[in-house]
Amino acid sequence: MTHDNKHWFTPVLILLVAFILPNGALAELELHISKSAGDGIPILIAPISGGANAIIDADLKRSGRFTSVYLKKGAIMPAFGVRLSPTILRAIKAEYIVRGRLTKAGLDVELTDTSTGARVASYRIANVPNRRRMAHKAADKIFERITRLKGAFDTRLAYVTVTGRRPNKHYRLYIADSDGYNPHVILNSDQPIMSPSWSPNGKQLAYVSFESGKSAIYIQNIFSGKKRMISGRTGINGAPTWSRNGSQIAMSLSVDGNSEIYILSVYNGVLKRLTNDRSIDTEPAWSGDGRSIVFTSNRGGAAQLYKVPTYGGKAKRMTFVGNYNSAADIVGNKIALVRRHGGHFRIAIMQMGGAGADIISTGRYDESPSLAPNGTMIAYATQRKGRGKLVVVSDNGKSKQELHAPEGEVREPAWSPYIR
Amino acid sequence: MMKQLTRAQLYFLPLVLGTLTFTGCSQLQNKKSDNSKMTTTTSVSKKGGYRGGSNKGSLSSGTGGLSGLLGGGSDIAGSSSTIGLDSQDISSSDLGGNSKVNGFGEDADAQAAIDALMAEGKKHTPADISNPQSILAQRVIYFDYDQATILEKYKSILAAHAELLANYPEMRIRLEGHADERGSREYNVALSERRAETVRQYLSFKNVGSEQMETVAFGEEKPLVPSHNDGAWNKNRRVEINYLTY
Repeated sequence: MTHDNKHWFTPVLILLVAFILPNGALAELELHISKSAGDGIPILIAPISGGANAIIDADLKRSGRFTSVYLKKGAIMPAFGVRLSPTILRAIKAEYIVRGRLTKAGLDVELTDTSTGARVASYRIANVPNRRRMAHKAADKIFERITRLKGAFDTRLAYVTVTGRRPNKHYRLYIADSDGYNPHVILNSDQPIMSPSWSPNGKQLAYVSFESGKSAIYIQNIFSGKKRMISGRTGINGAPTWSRNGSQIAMSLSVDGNSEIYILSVYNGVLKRLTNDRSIDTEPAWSGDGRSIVFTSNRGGAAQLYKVPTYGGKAKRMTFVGNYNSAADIVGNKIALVRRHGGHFRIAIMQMGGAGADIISTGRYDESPSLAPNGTMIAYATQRKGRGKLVVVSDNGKSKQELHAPEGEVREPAWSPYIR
Repeated sequence: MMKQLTRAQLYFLPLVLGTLTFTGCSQLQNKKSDNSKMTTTTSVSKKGGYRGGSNKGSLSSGTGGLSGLLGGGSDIAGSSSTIGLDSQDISSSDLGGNSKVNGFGEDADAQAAIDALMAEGKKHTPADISNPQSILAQRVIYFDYDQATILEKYKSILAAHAELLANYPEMRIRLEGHADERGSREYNVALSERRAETVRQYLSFKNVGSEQMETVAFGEEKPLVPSHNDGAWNKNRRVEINYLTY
């Protein structure tokens, strides 16, 4: 981690950093909130010295489950730990109030229920080098306390950027905080980089790189940068996806003639073939229980999702609506996928075993959906004015944020698992 | 009709025959009668002519004399490149009588003569790849959306490349498959591989050696046209034939 914003609480320094950084290389994604829930749980995050309140507020908004309430101009919120008077509680049209303070030990936050005035929870977030993470961790605590769902704000995104014009394109594999801050390049190439997938411990990425002139699958430690090739077989080496316990990687290979699904043991390199069909079989995703693989196949004539047990057997078709369903990403029973809908490629959410699906995106060429580890948010790639950008949308579709690269394209977001 | 031929002239004959297959008989006869140095008049009727792609044809002489001259007809009959000449009108009894041509030391020269003859009969040479007028300058074929079937209109291009590659087995190509941006990225990699594979199989049926071809699938990662419309997509759904050794 070479570029932690240790002084995130000093706006002047943030500006300075933004100027010093060269265009592209380490430039942060520009974040725009394009939609937020109007009917979420109303919550007020009182100012915290250093600005952690803004980060917490943005996080809760991203979930599509909260609506921000702000202090009236000139109003003053009693300090952290001070009991709130009934007058203040009545005046603030929020269900919850969050107050916080920054100490040498870390970030303290407390949650007050305005209906009772009781302090329902308080948390101390220990110092970490990346100070923004402290605010994300606080947001996770608050989110979990209120919704009973584990928070997933203190997570990361991996994504690919492309700059330059043919034939001088440059590809970079990035990791950043889940809100696009603190980007780090972990791979540079003049050949395509594709399909990043996180290891379940959040320390490694598997991806496809064409750096050798053809596709090969690599795994790389995001901290040390150390990488190794795990599949450079004849034909396609694509779509790596780590198993739930980290011991195996499902992938699509065409070493036996055409693209099929395989499972590779990360430890001993043993390769097991899972499908056997003359059609395209690709984009494997592990089911929530880890016992099946959901994949894309055009064996029925067009791309649809199928499911096959990891020990092998007959694949069962899962999608019957639309003439193109692909690129599943699964958390629990929730499946995010690409669906051709009215001539456009959109992101849809369906339940494992369920029949229906909700379309949650509005673009024409949306792709690469990736669910947050708690399933409440989905990152995907879309295009605006011919340029690739990322969108983070809540699973209920009520909140939407866009992440643009300062130049070039940004694509293929992969949401990390929970990190420690 | 035919009288004595010098050795030099004998070596020249295959080239003449080769030229004949292209220029036609009457022209040659005119030329030859105009040429005062020629001591003989050769009358050849071109009935078979060039039969590209067929293995049936062979250079043969009605009298057996010509095949004798060329160091054994079987060498030619076994060759994939064929010159079909109905040589009954060639009076070549004198040629067959020249034992020196059939002699051991002459085989290499004779083979060179055959090679020269064969080269004359080919449609395409590696040089055509860089000739914008040649069909071999067309090295990209395009596909329908979500399809890997070779469209009828591109088969003549592939056939031309196949013929060149079959005739020059030392030549190597890489078939690069591509897709347009619609649909998911890894699906498009697989789709683009199918396109490259379909082309590889087609060329393989046309006698291109498997060791001459490799495929690589780039999916939608390397669009030819970076726009987002039908025109761009039509150009981006493609297989590129890239010659590696030329």
